[in-house]
Amino acid sequence: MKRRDFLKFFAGVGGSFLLLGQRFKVIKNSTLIRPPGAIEEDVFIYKCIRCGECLKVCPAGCLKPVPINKGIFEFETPHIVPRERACLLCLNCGKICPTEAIQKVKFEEVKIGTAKINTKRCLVWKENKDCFVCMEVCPVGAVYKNENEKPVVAPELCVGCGQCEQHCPVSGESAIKVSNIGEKRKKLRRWKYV
Amino acid sequence: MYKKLIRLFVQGIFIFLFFYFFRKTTFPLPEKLPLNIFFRLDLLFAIFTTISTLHFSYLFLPSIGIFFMLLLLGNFFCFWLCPLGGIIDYTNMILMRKKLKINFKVPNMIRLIRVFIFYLIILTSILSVFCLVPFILWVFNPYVILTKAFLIRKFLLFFILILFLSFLIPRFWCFNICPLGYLNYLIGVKLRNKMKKLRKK
Repeated sequence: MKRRDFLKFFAGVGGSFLLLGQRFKVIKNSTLIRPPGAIEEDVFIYKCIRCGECLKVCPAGCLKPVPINKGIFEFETPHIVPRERACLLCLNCGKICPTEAIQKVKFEEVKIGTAKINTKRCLVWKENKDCFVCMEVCPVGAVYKNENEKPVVAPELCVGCGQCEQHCPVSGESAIKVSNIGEKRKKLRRWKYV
Repeated sequence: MYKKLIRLFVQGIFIFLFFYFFRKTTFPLPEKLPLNIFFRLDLLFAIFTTISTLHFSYLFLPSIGIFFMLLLLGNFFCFWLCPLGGIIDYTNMILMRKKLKINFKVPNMIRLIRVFIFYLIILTSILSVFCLVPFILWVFNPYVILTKAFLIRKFLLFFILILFLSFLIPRFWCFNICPLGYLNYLIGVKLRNKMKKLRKK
């Protein structure tokens, strides 16, 4: 292959990737719940080398690799599915990460999302039953009873660990769901973006 | 002969270390052991993450040591240190590939695969500064393959396939596909030879 052909080929590949990049610039609207200490999403997907060390070290087994149908850019990166397994906030993933994609954080700094109660599904709100499992399992006391004796989430206290979602006794979709809204992600001190 | 035995011994140590660290990567984490050191020694990961995120992580400092050691000692990495390469060598030794005289040859064109993968990775790392590009490097990394092989079943099949191909064709993975191997070859052989020539001049 001549040098010119080689360069042409790479220019073609580069061009198509540029187009792809423009087309899939939806990463900032990601709904994935990342482990505590994960850096901002657009840098995280390149800092994370998909080594699987965090998945292995997680004592709760709450970290799972993102399947390809949830996004080609996020494929195999770690995320939390609270309904299956909630985060124990042990913060070991930050200690083992070899690239600083997940950084060491203090317990007080953790905020991976916020829980929200679906009043149409909640047993207390809908059927006036005496449940309050979410209140009992919350490790930070972010779920409390309001003046009407119904469970409510204090978003400023909630860290998004997902214990409430995992233990919610409502079958199927949980009555309390954690989303990544309000998550605190560290910013990397990096050279200026082009 | 002695060199080969010493090499096998050193490879055995690094394979043992890899699996020992792998086993120890559980809760609670032992504070003193560098459990993620093999990933941090990876020069290609260091280059990719530094370019694509415009940030050099201090955790990748050991990989700079590897760079200078490659310049000093040649491509020692693939033949002495790499646990995947070690496992391939040990499997071939245990299955007695040499006695069975299995030695399929591949056309030279196949060797270009790793060159293509290597430059594609460099290109994606540069492009990812400007736009979103899928991250493909992890699929070709020996440590990721080894770690995931014992975590996810699909990767175990991939790992067995690598071992099988490397049984038929000597070090098939390392010489034809592994981009890290190509980078080590570029530094440890090409760059080293150039520097030697310059010194002579």
